[in-house]
Amino acid sequence: MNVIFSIAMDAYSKKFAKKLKPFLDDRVFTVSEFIDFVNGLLKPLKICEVVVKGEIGEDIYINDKKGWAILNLIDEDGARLGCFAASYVIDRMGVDPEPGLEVKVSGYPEVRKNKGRFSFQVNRISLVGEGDLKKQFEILKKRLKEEGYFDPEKKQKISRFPEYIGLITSKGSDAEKDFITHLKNYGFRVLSYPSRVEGETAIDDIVAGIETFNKNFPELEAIVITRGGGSWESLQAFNSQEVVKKVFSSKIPIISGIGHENDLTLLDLVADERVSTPTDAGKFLSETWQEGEKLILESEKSLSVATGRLIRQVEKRFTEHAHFFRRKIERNFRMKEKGLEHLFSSLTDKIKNRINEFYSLEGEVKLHGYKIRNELKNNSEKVEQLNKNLKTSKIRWEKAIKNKLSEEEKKLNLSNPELKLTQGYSITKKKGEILKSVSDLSEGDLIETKLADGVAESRVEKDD
Amino acid sequence: MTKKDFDFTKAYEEIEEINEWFQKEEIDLEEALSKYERGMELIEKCKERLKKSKNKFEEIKEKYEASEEEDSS
Repeated sequence: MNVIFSIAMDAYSKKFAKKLKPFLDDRVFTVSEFIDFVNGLLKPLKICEVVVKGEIGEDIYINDKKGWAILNLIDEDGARLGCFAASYVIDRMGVDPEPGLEVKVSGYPEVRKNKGRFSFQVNRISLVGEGDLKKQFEILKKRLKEEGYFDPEKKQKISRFPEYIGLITSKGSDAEKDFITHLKNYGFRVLSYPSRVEGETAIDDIVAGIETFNKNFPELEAIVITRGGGSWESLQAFNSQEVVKKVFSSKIPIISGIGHENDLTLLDLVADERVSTPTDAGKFLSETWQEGEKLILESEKSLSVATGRLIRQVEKRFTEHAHFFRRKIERNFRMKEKGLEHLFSSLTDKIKNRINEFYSLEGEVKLHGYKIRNELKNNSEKVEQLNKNLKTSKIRWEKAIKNKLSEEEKKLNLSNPELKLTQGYSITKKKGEILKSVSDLSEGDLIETKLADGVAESRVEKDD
Repeated sequence: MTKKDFDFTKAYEEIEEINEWFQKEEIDLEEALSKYERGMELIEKCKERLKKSKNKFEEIKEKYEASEEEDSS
């Protein structure tokens, strides 16, 4: 062990012992209390997690039923560390534990209460030597391949123009900068999950990143996991079974961009899309949009070409229709024209006939004209004679009527009662009525007697 | 950062469909007119989206906060 570290530990122990002493003075532990106390002292190592390197010893005990395994780590000095691991921890290593295999275990020490034995609780076990690492890698790769983790048909399709991107990489690293620079400005929205990318602890971060994105940001269109190049050993997180399984189960497609020279990492094999560097990851995404820009312009062009073609087609169809209609109209017109000609000629014939009729009538009129005029002349003479006769008769009749009238007048004058008065007759009236009998008179009646030259009033004195 | 305001991929796919439709032999004029208008509208929107090109960055600060919230509920 490092001398300076050893001295520092020594000083710390002394300081710590001083603080501990009052607590321990006169104290007697039960066995159980004591083991708990020792485990308490070891707790800082549990919180920090310790990594121990060694060779797997001869005695390996795996209890498949109960799901755990016991093995020993030994070193050249003959030191021995009993290790207790759950079977899934052994399984994650990717290879079966064999004596002589050089490994690194991370976990914490504790005293097993029931056995009273000091033991190392293993959280993760991984190979150390490059040769073994390669071997582990090949075995794990083969197994995962057989289990279908790398099947091309199981890969998810990345949206054609991804916009909302999750990023898992080391914060402030060159990888992050390279990725962002090559993204270019296409309106990406990048949500980053800072992660360690080297060593065993990177596995936890990467797995947690994928989990967080899937759980809380399912609308992400892709997750980019990227880091710059490094040694084979430094890229072990990307060859871990845990990362492979998490990537495989992610609902969001995953793009791997791990810088490496030769072999692909297992992440590359399981990812839905792989590129070789952070720069390429940025380029991969920005190129989709570059292509999009081009495609939009092409689409616009092809749409206008298509509509242009359509317009020409329609124009052609219109012209065809126009020809067709014109021909039809012309034919109709010609037919009507013929009909009209026919009608016209029949009309002309009729008019001609009428004119002829008129001419013949006129001839007849001319022929009979003289006769008619003569007739008219003769008749007028007759009328004149008749008129004269009428006038003569009128004068004669007038004279006769006059004479008759004066005769009648004379006769009338003779019978006039007034004339009788002059001859001595009188007219007697009572109350305006002419009296014709004495019986109409009574004593005292007032009577009027009209004579030729006046009226005398008298009263009846005596009634006989 | 939540949902997208405009889905470029979806819009482009619709533009592609429209362009394909126009390759048909027999085209209905009414439909062609509305497809053309829709296509041009989408193209304009896509162009508009391409103009808004500044990238936005956000970081998840509290690593396990979201999942812890989820667990406690």
